[in-house]
Amino acid sequence: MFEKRRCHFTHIFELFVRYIYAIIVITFSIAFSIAGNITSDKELVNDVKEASGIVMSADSLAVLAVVGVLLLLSLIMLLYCAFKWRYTFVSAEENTLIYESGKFIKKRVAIPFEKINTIDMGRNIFERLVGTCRLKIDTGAYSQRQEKNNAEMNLVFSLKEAEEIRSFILSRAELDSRAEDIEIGKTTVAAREPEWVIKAGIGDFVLYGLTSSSVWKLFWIIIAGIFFVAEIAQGFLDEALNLVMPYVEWATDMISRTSIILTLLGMLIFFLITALISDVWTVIWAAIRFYEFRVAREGRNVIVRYGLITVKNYTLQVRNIHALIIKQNVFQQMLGRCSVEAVCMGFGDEKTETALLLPIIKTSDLNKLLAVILPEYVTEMNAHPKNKVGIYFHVVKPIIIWGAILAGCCVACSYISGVSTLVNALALVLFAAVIVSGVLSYKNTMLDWNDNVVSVQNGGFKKVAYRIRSDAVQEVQIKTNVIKKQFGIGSYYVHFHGPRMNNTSISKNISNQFFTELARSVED
Amino acid sequence: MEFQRVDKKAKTKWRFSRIIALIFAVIPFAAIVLAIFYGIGADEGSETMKIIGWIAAGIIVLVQLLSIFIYPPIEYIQWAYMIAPDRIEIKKGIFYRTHTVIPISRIQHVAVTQGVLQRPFKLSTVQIHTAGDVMEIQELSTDVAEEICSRLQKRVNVKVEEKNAAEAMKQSGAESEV
Repeated sequence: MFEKRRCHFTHIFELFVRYIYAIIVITFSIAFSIAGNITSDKELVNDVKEASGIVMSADSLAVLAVVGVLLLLSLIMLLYCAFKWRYTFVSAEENTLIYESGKFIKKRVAIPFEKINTIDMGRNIFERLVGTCRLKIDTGAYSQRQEKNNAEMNLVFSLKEAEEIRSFILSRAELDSRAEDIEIGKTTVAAREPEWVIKAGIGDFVLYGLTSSSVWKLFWIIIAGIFFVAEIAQGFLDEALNLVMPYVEWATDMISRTSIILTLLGMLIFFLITALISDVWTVIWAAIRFYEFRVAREGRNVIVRYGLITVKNYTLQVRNIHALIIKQNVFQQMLGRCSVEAVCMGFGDEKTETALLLPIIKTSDLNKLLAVILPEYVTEMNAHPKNKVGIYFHVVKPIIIWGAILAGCCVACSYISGVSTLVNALALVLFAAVIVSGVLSYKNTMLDWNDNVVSVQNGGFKKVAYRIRSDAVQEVQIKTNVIKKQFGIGSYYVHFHGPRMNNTSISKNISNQFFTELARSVED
Repeated sequence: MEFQRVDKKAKTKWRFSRIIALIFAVIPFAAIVLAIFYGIGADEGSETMKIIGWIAAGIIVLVQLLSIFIYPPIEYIQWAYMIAPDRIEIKKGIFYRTHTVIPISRIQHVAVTQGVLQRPFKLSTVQIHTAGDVMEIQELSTDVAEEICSRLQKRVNVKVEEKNAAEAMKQSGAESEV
C-alpha cells in the first residue's frame, strides 16, 4: 500500500515537447497540402509571391505580434501540461491500484492487482537524460476506444520509484497464488539481477539485418520519397523531366533492343543493390534497437530487456501468454534462423508493439531455449502424415492460375512495342516465384498437437508457426469445398484468444481425417 | 448425438429475403452495369460492348435467381448443428463448406437475436460468443433458440464449476505432495 504519488516533474516538459511536436507536424502537413494545391496553378504562384512580398515588407510589428501570439500559446500549453501533471496521481489500496486524473473532469481508474497483465518499463532518450522511466500498466481488457487509449496507465516516474512500484505490483499480483512469497518477492525482485538466458551479440544483429527482408520497404520508401519531392518541388519537376527524359528514352530503347537475359540481369543487379543498402540500414537499426537483448524466466514471469536509445523492459506473466509465433522469412529458412514473438494478453494491443521474445536464434536451439524460458511450449513439430494430394492445391493450382494470368498479360503487352521484353522478363520472374512459393508452402504446412500445445504452421516465403496453448484455443474450424472434399482434404482454422479480436491461425490443404481428433484434444 | 437441421420455415425466409434483395439491390446493380457497358459501347460505336453488358447483367441476375430457387433446399440439407454435452458443432455452406467445433467450456455468453425479416417467420439466431469471436446458428424457430440459449447457459455453468473443482483438486493434490 502506498500514498498518492505524482509523476516525475520532468514529465511536464516531455508532455509539452510532445504537444508542440504534434502541432508542428499538423501545421506543416496543412501548409504543405495548401502549398501543393497552390503551386499546381502557375498564376496563383505569382499571386502568392506578391502576397508574401507584402507580408515581408510590412511593418515588423506584425511579425512581432505573430511571434508573441505563438509564445503566448506555448506558455498556455506549458501551463496546461503542468496542470495535468499536478492533478494526476497514482496510489495503491489493499488490493487495487488507483489512478486519478483531472481537476474539473475527474477520472478515476481502479485496477485490481490480480487483473494486471503486463508491466512495461520503457525509457526513451529524453527520459534517460533526466533519469526517469515510463511505466505502462495494462490489463488487456477490450475497450471500445482501444485505438485511442491503449494502456490503462501510462506514467513517468524516476527510475528508482518506477522499480519500486513495479516490484510492489509484481509481489501483489501473485498474492492469491503465492501468499508466502510476498516478503521474499519484495526484496529480491528489485535487488537481484535475473539470470539471463540469452544475450544477443553483434553477430546476431548482422545476421538479423542480412535476413530481414526489408528490401520492399526500402523500395517503397524510395518511391514515396520521389513522390514527396515531386510534390514539394513541382516547379522543378518540369525541368528535371526535361533533363531525365533523354536517359529514360535511351533506357527504354536499350531494353527493347537487348535480350531477356540482359534485362533480367539488370533487374537482378538493381534488386541486389537495393538489398545491400537496406541490409546495412537494417543491421544498424537492429543493433540500436535490440542492443543488449536479454530474456529471463523468473518464477511466473518472463522478463525481456533491450535497447540502446530507447530502453525497453517488459515483464510478461506466463499465464497470460496464450501463444508463440515463430517467424522465418525465406533467407532465415535457408540459414536455419527464426524469431519468436509471444501473444500475451494485455501486451501488443498497440499496433506498433510486439512482445518479442527472441529476435534471432538458431532453429535447432529453439526447443533448448524454450525449455528454460517457457517449458510449456516445447514440442517437436511432428507433422501428421501429409496428404500427398495437397501438392495439387499448393503447387499445381497456383501454377495454372498464375500461368494463365501472366500469359494473358504477356500476350496483351506483345501488341505494345518496347514494353514487351520487360513484361516477359517480369512474368518469368513472377512465375518462378510462384513455383518456389508453392513448393515451400506445401513443405511448410503442418499441423500437430499434444496435451498442452496446438502447433499450426503455414506460409511459403514467409513461414509462420503458431504454438497455441490448448486452453487458449476458442474454436476449431475446417473449411472444404466440393473438389477438396473429393480428395479428402480441408483447411484448418484454429481461433485463439489474444490481445486483438479474431486471432486465427490457418493450415491449408491437410487431410480432413484429423479434425475430430484435434477438436477432442482441444476440449479438455 | 445427431446433427439437427434448422427450422423448416428457413427455406421460405431465405427465398423471401433474397427476392427483396433481388428487387432492391441486384436488379439496380445489374442496370448500372448494363448502363456502363452501353456508355462505353456508345463511345466506341460498337455493338459488342452492348452484348457483353447484357451478358454481365444476365449473369448477375441469374446468380441471384439460382440462390432464390435452387439453393434453399440444398442449404437446408447441408446446414446443421449439434449441441453435445461437451461441444457445439456447426456445419454451413453450399460449395465452400465450414465445420466448426466450439468446446462448451470456452463459451463466454449466449445471445438470441431476431432480425426484421426473421420476425414474420418467428425465426431467431443464436449467437455464441467466445473470447474474441462470435459464431451463429441461424434460422431456428424462436422457441428452440430460447430453449438452446438457456440450456447452453446451464451447461456452461456446470462445465465451469466442474473445471474449477478439478483445478481445486489438482491444487490440493499438489500441495499435499509438497
